[in-house]
Amino acid sequence: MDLKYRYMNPDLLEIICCPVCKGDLILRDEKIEEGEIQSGKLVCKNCGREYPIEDGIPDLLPR
Amino acid sequence: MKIEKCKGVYEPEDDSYLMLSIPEVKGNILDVGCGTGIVGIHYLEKGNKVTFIDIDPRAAECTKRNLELNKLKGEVIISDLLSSVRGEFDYCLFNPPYLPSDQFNHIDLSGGIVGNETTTRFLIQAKEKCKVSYVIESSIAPIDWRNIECLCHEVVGKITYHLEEIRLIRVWRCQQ
Repeated sequence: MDLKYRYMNPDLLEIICCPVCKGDLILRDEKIEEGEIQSGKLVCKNCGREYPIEDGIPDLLPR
Repeated sequence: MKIEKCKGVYEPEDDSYLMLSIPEVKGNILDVGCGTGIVGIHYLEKGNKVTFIDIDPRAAECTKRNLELNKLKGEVIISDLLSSVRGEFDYCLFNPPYLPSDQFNHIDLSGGIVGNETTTRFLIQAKEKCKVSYVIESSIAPIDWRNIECLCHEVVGKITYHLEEIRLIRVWRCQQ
């Protein structure tokens, strides 16, 4: 399977936000494969809430 | 298009097929409640940009698997409707869970106690973020448009399933 089909494109960061306070999300602890994000976490610049990225899919459910 | 079913994820049914082949749907598209990904993958194949959203991680994984199967690239997000997306999309497509929870208490089927609550929440969010939306409505739990201000709508397709009527509804901002 070609890796380029599998993970999160960093451009996605432009259209997602914190679901709670609508703040910008910053990428942390990322593991990059061929320019795409395989795993890591998204941290809200405003409220500090964290959201995991696993297997190229950001999980933006508040917890 | 190849679509594999996944355990616990809504299997494509007649209402899913009603969402395919809407001629005007082009551009930057959001597939909300994507399930297996069948609707968004259809429009991705036609060369559009599609972002997929589902609240259920199993559905998000299922869509990703079907994207790989079709060798297509689309972004998948686990999110409660549009709560974590910003910007404006040309078209938002939503085949919601629309059955009352006392009959079908499962996330991919039930849209709340009456059945239309999830659709109402979507439409209120869509007003800000979607130029045009297409949603499925069931005659079992029709959308209560009194709760949704400033949006115009028209029925553009329907099918009858036993005693139930399934409608495809186009929704847009009344003042463009």
